[in-house]
Amino acid sequence: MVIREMELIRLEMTPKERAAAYARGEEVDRIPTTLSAGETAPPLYGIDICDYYFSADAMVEVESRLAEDFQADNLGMGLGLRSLLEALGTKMKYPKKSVSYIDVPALKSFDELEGRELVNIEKDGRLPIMLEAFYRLQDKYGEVRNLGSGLAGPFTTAAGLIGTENFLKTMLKKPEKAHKLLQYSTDNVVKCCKDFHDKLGINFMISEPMGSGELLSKRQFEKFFVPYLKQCVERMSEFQNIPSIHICGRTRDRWDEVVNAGVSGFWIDNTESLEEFKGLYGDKVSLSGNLSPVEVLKNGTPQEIADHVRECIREAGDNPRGYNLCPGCTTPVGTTKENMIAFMNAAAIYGRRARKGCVPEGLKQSV
Amino acid sequence: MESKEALLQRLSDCVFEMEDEEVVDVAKEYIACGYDPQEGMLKGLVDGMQRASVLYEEGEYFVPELIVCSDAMYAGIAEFRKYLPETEDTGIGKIVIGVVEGDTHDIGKNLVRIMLETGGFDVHDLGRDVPLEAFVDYVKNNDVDILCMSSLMTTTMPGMGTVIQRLKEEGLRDKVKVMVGGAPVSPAFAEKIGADGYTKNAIEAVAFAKRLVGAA
Repeated sequence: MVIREMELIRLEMTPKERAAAYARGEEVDRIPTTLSAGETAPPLYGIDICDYYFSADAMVEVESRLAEDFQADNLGMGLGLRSLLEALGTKMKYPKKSVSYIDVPALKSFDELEGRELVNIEKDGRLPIMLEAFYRLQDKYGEVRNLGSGLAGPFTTAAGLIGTENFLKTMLKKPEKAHKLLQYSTDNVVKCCKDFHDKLGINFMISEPMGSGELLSKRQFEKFFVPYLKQCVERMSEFQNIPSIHICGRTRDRWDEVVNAGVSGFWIDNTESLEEFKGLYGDKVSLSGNLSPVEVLKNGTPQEIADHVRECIREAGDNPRGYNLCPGCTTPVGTTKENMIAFMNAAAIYGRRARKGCVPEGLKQSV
Repeated sequence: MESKEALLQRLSDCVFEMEDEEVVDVAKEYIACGYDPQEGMLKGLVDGMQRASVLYEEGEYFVPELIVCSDAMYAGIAEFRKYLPETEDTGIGKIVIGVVEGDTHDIGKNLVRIMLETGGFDVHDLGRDVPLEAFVDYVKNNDVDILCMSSLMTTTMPGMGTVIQRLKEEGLRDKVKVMVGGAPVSPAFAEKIGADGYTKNAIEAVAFAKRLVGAA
């Protein structure tokens, strides 16, 4: 099927209706589809990313425009990898046209952990700004959309508190200090999610790029990553939906451990196979992913995007515990509106009439 | 008095086993025995780093282990340097390295720098988020054999092509060899932008750099 139309195919069901029906095992108009684009999309709307971070108006504007322009199932700014870190004292740099990055970690030494307070979402960093934006989005869209968010989990947060190289070295040389930091980090992640949830009913997912096989050995992963993921999942599940997780890059050798930590879903990157994951764990967790964000979503043609979407849905559309179509990682800065529409339209066509655990009718009819 | 070979082995083991404090004691012992510090560096410390890099290639050691091994190596080198004459040119070649503008992922670049120094090069590190012109300026104003550029983000990769283009415009392209690397970079991309080569990890980078300067 050739995708020509660059106008968004508009759908009838609201995201809220779609989510509820899909969860109940009923047929929905389109496979659940999300774009992780809040932090990288502001330039599409003439807003510099550095300004976006500091303005509730800009956040509400970007989220609203994304909702209207693309009709993805997600709504809500991600706290991402750095909002909590910033609130805990890590200093950031804010380039005009790109996402922020860590300049100076919050802690100069592990001794600074003694008696250190936990995050206060009403006072610290940019969290108050995000809180205001969430309230306004809830007012505007709460009837038709579920507000959600995501943030860096304990391991990635710990790295950002003391500095990545420092953290990696400490795990090897002074493991007891690394554990102390990880516990502090976990406490903050959980408190942050709980406080937002108490006020707004938001459910959070966890992102852990530092848990990737590109960086961390399995040995270190088992010792320093898994216990805190388990704890985080357990504690978060006391007040919100069981969290799902995203880990960038290579993760194949640690799928078992992640699934057994109790997550509800796994969002895998384009370096891994949706089909393989489904075969092994599809009866345990939901699956998300994994269109190549740069090669395909950003740099591909609409036809290439459609072909890859079709392939993703073919691989994982019938995942027994459910499937969410999305890019393998964040939608890159510079991705055009046209390409994002191509993605959503391909989802609407090949993911048409989807039901949890079944091949969507749209895919069957496209053969 | 312990034999030179035994002490060299202990130096190598300290680096390999990430003993960044013990290595200094062993270096002091070695010097006290009157053995040659240059040899201590190359056959002891650097040997340990090379053993570590073999394990890295085999997937036993990862980035964290290499970083701590290199800490041990540099701690030992700092001790030996006190006993070495001040010489200007000790290296087999001069390299400038950096992460391209807009990109702050530097762990990979740091590892490459460490391994190039281990391999005998003099390396000047421009750091991360390096403005593209800074690469060009450094090549213009210094004696450089190889320019190494790294990026982890596909959105910053094109900067590498821009640097090469600017080198051409300044008549500097033939002055220097260009190597590129980083997770999203590929041999095809390197060829497209006119680089002299792409290497996929720090170990390959050293071998390739040596071939480029004719030292392999």
